[in-house]
Amino acid sequence: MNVESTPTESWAPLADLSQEPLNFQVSRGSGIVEQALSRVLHSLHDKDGVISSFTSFISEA
Amino acid sequence: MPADPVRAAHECAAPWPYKQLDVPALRAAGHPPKPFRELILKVHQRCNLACSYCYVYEMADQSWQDRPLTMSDEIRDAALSRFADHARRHNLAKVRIVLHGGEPLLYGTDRITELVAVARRSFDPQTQVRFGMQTNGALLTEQVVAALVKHGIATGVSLDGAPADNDRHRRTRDGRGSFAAVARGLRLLCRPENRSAYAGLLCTVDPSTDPIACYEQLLGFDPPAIDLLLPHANWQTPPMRLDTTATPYADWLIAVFEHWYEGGAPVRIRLFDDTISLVLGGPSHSEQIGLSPSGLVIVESDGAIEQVDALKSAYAGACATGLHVQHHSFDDALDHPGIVARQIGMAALADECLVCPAVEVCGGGHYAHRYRPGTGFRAPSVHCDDLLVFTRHVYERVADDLGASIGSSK
Ligand code: SF4
Repeated sequence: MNVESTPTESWAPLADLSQEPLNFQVSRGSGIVEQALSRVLHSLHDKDGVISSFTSFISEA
Repeated sequence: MPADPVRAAHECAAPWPYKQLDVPALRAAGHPPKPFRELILKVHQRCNLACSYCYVYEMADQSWQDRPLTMSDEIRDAALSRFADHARRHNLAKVRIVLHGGEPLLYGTDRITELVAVARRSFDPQTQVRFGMQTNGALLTEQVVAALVKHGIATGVSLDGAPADNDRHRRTRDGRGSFAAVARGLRLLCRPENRSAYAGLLCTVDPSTDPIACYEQLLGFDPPAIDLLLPHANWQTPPMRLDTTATPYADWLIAVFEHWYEGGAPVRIRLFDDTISLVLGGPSHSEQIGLSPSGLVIVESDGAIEQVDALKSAYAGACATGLHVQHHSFDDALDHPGIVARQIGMAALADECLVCPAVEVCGGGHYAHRYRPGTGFRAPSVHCDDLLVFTRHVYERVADDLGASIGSSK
């Protein structure tokens, strides 16, 4: 996982999980960031990911 | 000018995408269509409330006046059958059907029950069909909520925070506030036996309100999720501004974000979750932010196949595709320029966005908010300044958090 801590000209993603398997153990950042990384990992493996209309619905990922 | 009047109106109001987007060239360049995974059915055209900012009744497009009050059974069946065909053709494992209006509960629980039964019969067993509804919540009774639970309809309720703030915008036709009625409905959804039908709360940001009081009020209804929506606006009809700050919406959102983040994120807030996901290199699932393709389509009560109805805030006829469920498939809609424009990521963005440092996170904002007369939808969001400030705040907050934690774990 690559991490960059300072925003550059163009804001590079703060993590790269694109090569990680679905069972990769995310253990970085605060609880919130750790959960978010775990969701990102699932989303990257979800080829069906599209936006949905009603914004009070939260994706199950 | 084209002979097709729908297309002619679009080309005049929105040269991009309607005159300038070359769909065959995009397909050849490797932008395949993405099948629809969410169908929004406009089952009832009227509403029991008259909210001041409602894009259906109070903004540019007034097409609701010409449509049938409710969706007929023939149109319902045609829409569900078309969607089932679409799921079959594209081998979709999961789809969602969302009941919307107007106020969908005016359609009646008996008809909602029948719609769910018809939908379940229409799809092949390999496609999981989920149901949702977006309601103003004022008509939720014990009987209605029991029906929603029974039929597995996840219900999103619109509420704009504290009673006085909510009632300033969300009122009945005779001017009474809706908070008390909605609160009664939400207390029903909160009961343990009903929670499976509680999807969350949707709140439109009003920067003149107290952000923390709003958040605490929403949290008080124990929602599974919240979303915070920037008000629908565009370069022709800009959002309300305040004299005291250049970025009132960002300031408001940042105040809530900090309170939420410091509090350990006790509830999922979709705009915040999606923004954090984007800064971490993940996708967004929301129309408000990011570059994910849109996988949703609308069927109006008269059977018209349309684009998302937030576009009604742009110009009369902005949602139209000229297609109809009784004559066209949903695959026909996939090549409509307005639908294509929502599925091509960066290729849909204005030059200003393409050189913006926030582009991968912001994604140009909500498509409806980009509308500029004379240009169309290839412009930055009218909320651009606020989006830049808000997304930068989240980026830096998460970068600090991640950096500090990594440092401390060494
Ligand atoms: S912040 Fe403004 S310029 Fe940048 S991507 Fe968003 S809308 Fe475009």
